[in-house]
Amino acid sequence: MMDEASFEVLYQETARPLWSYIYRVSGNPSLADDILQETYYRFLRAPRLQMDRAQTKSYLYRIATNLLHDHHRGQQLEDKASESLHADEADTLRSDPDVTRLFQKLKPQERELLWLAYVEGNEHKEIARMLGLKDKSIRVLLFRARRRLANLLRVGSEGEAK
Amino acid sequence: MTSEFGCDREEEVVRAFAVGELSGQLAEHCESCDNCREVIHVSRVLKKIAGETKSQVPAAGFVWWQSRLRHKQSTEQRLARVMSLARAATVTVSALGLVAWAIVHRSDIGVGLREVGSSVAQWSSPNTASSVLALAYITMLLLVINIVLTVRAHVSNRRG
Repeated sequence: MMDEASFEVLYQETARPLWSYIYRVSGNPSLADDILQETYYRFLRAPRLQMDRAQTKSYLYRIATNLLHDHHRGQQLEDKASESLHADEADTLRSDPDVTRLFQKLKPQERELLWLAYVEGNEHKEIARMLGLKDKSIRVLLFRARRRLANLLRVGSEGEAK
Repeated sequence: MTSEFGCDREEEVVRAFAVGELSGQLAEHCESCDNCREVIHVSRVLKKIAGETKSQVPAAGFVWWQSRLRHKQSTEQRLARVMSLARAATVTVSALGLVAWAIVHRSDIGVGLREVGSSVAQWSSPNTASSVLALAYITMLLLVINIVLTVRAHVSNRRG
């Protein structure tokens, strides 16, 4: 079992980027709070394996991603009214609503890939571990996600120009 | 270097861009590579919204304490569930045994009880024989009450 001091060091290092990742993928700050706490709870409960810093980080992101997937599956069953409520809530933390709105138009997996690659700066191998995907598929999936966001940004900026 | 799905130098570009070291040959490459230009554009946009995200994470101590508390609660719940299951299993086995015995001896159950009563009466008073019968009936009644209570506890646990 990890002791409190080691946990604090790990938490200080990982909590903020992990929260940002969950928030940007889910688009919901209170959900990000809940998933963050659940992620650390599950991490602490899991049997202790010998992991280095990078593996520990990947493991935390993997737990968070699985929780996000569970949420997305549950959310698909919710009605539209509830979804728009989440969108309103997310607006409270936005500084750049247009870009954030465009980012939220992507599929959850596309948001996960883009965030982990271009914000967190993870290598494809690490992303594969975090998302539970095959190494080789990351390049293709990331390419498609990036192309989709770039198109959305292009259309968005063209719309603004008009 | 550029294939159908991006450029081979993409990861290198992302790493260099992240640390602000996109210069020299790599910068020249980015100018001529549509894919890498797009990577930089998307990275810039995402980094911007990442920088604008105000994360308000709870204190490490709070998360640690809450995890410990939840772990303790779930351990207690698991233990209670195991004990409840053990109790239910005991009651069920006893009940099944009783029912099986009753089915096998259903025709002569009354006779059997009377024989038990009379054999007890041979070494004690007739009052003792009727006490044994009464005790058997009370035991059966208690067993039935126990079954009902266990089933009720299970149902309320599941609802809770």
